[in-house]
Amino acid sequence: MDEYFKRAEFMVERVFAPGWNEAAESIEPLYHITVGLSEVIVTVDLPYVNPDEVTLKLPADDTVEFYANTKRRITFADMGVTHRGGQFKSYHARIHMPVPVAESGMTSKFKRGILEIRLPRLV
Amino acid sequence: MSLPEDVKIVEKGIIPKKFTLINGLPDVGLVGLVAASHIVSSLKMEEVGTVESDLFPPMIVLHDGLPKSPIRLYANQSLVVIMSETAIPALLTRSLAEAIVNWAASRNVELMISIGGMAVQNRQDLDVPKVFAALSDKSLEKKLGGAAEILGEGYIVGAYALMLRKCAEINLPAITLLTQSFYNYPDPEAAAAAIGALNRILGLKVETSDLLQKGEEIRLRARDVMKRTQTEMARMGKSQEYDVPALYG
Repeated sequence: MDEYFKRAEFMVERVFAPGWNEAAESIEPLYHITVGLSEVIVTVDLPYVNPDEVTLKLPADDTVEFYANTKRRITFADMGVTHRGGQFKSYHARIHMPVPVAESGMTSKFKRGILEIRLPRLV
Repeated sequence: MSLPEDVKIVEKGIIPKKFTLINGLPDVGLVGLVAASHIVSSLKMEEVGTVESDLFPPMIVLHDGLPKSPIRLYANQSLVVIMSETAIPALLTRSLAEAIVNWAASRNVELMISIGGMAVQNRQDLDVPKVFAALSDKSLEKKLGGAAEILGEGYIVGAYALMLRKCAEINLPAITLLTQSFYNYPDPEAAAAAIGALNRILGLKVETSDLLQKGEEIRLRARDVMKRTQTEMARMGKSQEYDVPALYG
């Protein structure tokens, strides 16, 4: 039951959270998870990021966390929004995995501004 | 059951007597929205109408400090473009599709072209995404002129699916252009490829170099619309587009 509520809370946050964290100056990027037979594939959309600025961690076998600095500071004013004063210098997300995954054997590639992470399944 | 008057097109400017209608609704990869927006600004089209419904979320979008409907029509002498800056609620897909086709038929539109994306798993590895076309009638192959590959078998889910079928039923010429794209990330490269196909079909000269240069900016700005569109696509069962049709013909 706890797992159910944890998952429901995660889904609500994912759908309704704005994703612009002004306090942390970070953006939650768009991402997608595909669960395969032997691996989980996570893709992340990271405009304004250089591939060598990406850091990946697995704090638990059901969580992937990544962090990436942007090439430059991005402000709401850059996008014509002047009534909000936020600026952003990074992307950050903590992604809950639907199945347990292993850090060893993890591979990643960055192409067309999309980060693809492949994680072997534990189960 | 939807009623045609659930959604209505409200004209506020001059609609050309003869025109091609281009639909750029939020869909896979936001290909249609990004392409339509670029066409409107490149051709300096005028705003000539809105799409209204009491069933839409109560919202406006502000541009240059002025309130605008999120779904708008733009026109020049020979084109009308319908584009939406907000995700279309899945429940209103049918009403919106009917309203657009009914309006187009009432205006004797010469051709309707809908622009969308086709999710492919290897999009990251594609340098030049391919453009495919679904036609309301085989006679439109000549009009296509090799600008896109015909989509022989498959599923299309959403407003474009309903519009294409209705156009086929009432003999309104319609082409749905679907470009290989990311499913749930804004894809300006795919939008540029779609515009390239459109240029060939309609004899337009819309440049796409600045669209590609602004790619990262577009992907970031379109992030929120993409997120909401993802939710609506899930509600309408968009993933069925990955399926293989079970039967022949």
